[in-house]
Amino acid sequence: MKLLLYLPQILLCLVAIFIIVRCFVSLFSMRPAGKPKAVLINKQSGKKLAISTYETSLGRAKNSDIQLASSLASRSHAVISRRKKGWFITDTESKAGTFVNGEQTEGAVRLYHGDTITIGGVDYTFIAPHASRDENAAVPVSQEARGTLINLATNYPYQIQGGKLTIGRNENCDVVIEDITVSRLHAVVQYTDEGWVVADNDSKAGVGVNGYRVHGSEPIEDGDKIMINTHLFMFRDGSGVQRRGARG
Amino acid sequence: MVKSTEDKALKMRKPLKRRPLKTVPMLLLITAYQLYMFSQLAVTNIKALEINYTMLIYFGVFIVAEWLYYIVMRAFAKRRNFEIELIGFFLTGIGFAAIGSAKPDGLLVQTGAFLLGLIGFSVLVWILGDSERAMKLRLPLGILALVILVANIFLGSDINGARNWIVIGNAISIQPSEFVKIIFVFVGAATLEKLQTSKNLYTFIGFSAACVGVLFILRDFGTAVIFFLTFLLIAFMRSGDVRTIALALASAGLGGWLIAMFKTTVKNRFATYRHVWDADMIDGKGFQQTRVLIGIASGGLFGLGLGKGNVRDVIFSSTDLIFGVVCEELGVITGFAVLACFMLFAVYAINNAKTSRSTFYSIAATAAAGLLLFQASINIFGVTDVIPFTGVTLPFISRGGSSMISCWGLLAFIKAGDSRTYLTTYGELKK
Repeated sequence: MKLLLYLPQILLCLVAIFIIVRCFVSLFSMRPAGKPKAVLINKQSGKKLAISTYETSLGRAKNSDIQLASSLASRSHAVISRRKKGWFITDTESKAGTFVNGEQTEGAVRLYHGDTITIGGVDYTFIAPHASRDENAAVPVSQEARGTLINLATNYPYQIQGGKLTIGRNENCDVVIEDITVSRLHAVVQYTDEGWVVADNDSKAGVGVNGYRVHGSEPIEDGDKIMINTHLFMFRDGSGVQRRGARG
Repeated sequence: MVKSTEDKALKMRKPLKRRPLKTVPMLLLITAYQLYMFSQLAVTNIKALEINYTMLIYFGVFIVAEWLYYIVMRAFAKRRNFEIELIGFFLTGIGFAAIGSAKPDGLLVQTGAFLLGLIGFSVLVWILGDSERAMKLRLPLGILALVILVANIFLGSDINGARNWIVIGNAISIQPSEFVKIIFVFVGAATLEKLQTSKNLYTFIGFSAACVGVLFILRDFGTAVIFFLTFLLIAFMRSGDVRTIALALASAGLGGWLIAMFKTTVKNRFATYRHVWDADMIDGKGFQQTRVLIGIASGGLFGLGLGKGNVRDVIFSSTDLIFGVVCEELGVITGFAVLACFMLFAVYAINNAKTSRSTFYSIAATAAAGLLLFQASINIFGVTDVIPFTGVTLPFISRGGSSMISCWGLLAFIKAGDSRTYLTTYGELKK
């Protein structure tokens, strides 16, 4: 009888714990949405360095996001940041200075697709298709974007043409999966302003990237594993961009 | 080959079940939780159907505001993730219930402050959406903070031993130091390029020293300690230099010892510390702590039920001693759940630092979460005699308009640290 009187109090405590656990589990487990996409190409060696965070430090120091090999570069040389208006580079009081298209930078200088950045005597081309100088210009990259989706069960490579590939049960899809649990148009892999993404087309079974469920669309990189229900694919980026942390 | 692929597929299938939090069902659950708590207080006699309608209005406004916020943010700001706000609502709801039990008259101010806090939270999240705009605001806000604190020396009124209140027309009393907490975090945070070009901390050290100094003059020692601990956290995040922190700690330790020796109020608090159960203290200077400890013990794991405790009759039960009221009436489990929220906010902010959109957000979120944790710890450990007792509020729970607005302001920094908050701002989600 006494327990019955206490039951609402016990229930109240359990509900409190459930609310906190559920909210924090969701906070901790959700993958951060969206990553900025830009690339620096070393003009001499042709090496590509991916910029995938909103603030990327460049310098000789080991803790720099992109570690520069040139002895003329300062330990902390510059910072490339993605802001609301676009991409910017700021020289962080380096000795040799930072140059954009041959002009020494002062303060934050806006970067556009194709700009040449000179750091420590080394030229880099800044690649960010969505950061075109002419904002009204159509970005033709999606037509040029190349990629492959490999079915890991059969090892069959599906070439992505025109920057877009559809996956589903419908026979009109580029990748047809004959499985009743797969939706008619289940997902789309496409090249967007922010780079390659996989988008879930409100499918019933969902889409996963490296084991995490996709909500809406999710950026993907070379080597990412895409899961369509139980069907596993690997995405290969045809542009061959190196992952973050590589030496420049 | 086929088998290994199947194995991979099975391994991959598991995390897919980790679905994001569905806001509407969770908000419904929180509302049900709050309705049950509020009904315990508002329905004074269930048989005679005696209802406290005034209380019902406050609780009603609170719940409607929660839902209205969700609907507006979902529809107009295209926000999809509300975990941080939901935890804020949960904590504020517990506070409303505890205040409803300890000091029902305080609910009017608390409801108004909650509404202002929620508006302030939304505005601050919008301001923080552009780190450039936020960086430009640091200097004027820093000056404003110092002006507010210095004005407090001349215009402030003595309430409960501290001169940290400004009373307007005998009706409204505000605690400016609570608002300075938000500015303190704002000024302390900085973008990566700013940190790399001006590595020295001197400006921020000067600003922090001025804030802490004025708080000492105002005799608001609890808030001064919170500011100092937050300063250490920000200084470490900005410089990564342990030696600077050690030096600051040593000098603060020496200063603290000198103050404890010569300031009568602090000296008295240290005299009570660890002696609250002494025969000459138990009903004297240790009265509050002993009643809270007895209350926690009598409440047990699940609590006595709202309005049935004894701590609520002790002076300052709705402010400094609110943790005792929560534990006694809602149970130790709920009390620990409240503390866990602040701890998890801090862990989350540190964990999220790498994925934030800017170093500005990482530092601000960690500092805000740290500040809330320090404040909660000083309150909870103070009333339970683990550390010397000092009058600081329990974030989101204690009665106090300035405190409530400040807490929601600080929560905005944690929200801004979540990279999913500004999906539309950065064009990752089409409006």
